[in-house]
Amino acid sequence: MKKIFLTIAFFAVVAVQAQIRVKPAVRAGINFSKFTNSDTDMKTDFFVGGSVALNFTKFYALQPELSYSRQGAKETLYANYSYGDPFDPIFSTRKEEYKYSLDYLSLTIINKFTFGPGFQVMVGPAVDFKIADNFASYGIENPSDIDVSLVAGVGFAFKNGLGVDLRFKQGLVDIFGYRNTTYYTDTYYEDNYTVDDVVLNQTIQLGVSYTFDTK
Amino acid sequence: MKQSIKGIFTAVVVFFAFSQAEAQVTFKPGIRAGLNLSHFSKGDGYNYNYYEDLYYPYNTNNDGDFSSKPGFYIGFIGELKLTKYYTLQPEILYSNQGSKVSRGPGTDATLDVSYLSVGIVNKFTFNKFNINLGPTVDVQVDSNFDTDNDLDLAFQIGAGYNFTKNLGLEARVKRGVIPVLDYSSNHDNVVFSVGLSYVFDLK
Repeated sequence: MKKIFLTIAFFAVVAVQAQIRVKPAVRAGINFSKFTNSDTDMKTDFFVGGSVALNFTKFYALQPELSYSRQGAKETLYANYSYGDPFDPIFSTRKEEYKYSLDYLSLTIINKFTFGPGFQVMVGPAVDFKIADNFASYGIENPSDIDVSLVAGVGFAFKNGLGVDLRFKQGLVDIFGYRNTTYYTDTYYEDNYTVDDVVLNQTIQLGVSYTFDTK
Repeated sequence: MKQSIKGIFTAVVVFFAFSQAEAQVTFKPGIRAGLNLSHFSKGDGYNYNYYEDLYYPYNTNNDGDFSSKPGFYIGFIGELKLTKYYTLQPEILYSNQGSKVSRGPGTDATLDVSYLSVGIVNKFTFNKFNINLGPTVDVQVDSNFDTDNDLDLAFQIGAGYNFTKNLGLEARVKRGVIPVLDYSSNHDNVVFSVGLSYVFDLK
């Protein structure tokens, strides 16, 4: 019992001595996301969330974040069925646009390094829990409920609390998982979702943040 | 011999110490926005997919007459002023580009393509004027046609004038090197832009 007390006391002293400053922040921005290994284009959407920076030193902060991140991809089928060349990219008529949405609750642990007047380099892992998707409406199998991603980015923080950052987020989990539909041996279908390709989330995030001044 | 090496070493250290002390390296973040006037390069202009088809008006041996289309750009910049004459300026911009195209009467189309453009600009300042140039990596985020490449590497060159320490006017030309369209001949991004930039004083 005494030991436990001493341990707590020790850590309390360490915490006081090290002066870990805890700084909460809100963050929101634009997501440009797509799927790798597919014929999709980038879909523009948004993310919003909050974070708590644990400033261990002036140089280094550990920053857990929780955010709602709307990702996915866009697929457009272009064709001109009325006449002529269906493959002419300039004059083919837009026929159909699919917007695949994958909405995640994303828990990110960012390691933030700060240089000079406020340059930041950020890197860290994220676990994304799927909240919603619209794949069923396109008749596609349910994608994975969870994604694990790596996040890396750069940013700049102003003295008044405002910050700007650009991040690249790469998913690591095959979002369609393993499917036993390998009867397509035709290489023509390689780009389709119907074969068991590894398809990953890929997102570029452009965000602004505001750090609250807590003293 | 040993003496001379020591002398050189000392000179180098002293030189760098002085230049370090003299150089007031400052960093100022800012925003820039403006108007784009963009088109796709003509390539060799020949439609290699041409074939005789009376019922298909787009099918001519002309690959298309590309003409300018208005767009815009907006984004963040950082001015890292290293010396009196030289500033390194990283940029993150959203740039709406594209082209108008026609293959004769009744075949007009407007092609839109937008990029998230990350650039490194080398800016040389002479009093209020500056000349800037540098490469960009443009990641395509939106388009209204079937582009052949999702990424563009581009080079830009421009000139600017600073009204005050913070507010500046800029004009630039940007040329992509990866074809947006390679269906017949290669067509690259060409962008003329005019706009304003504003940098914030820190502290």
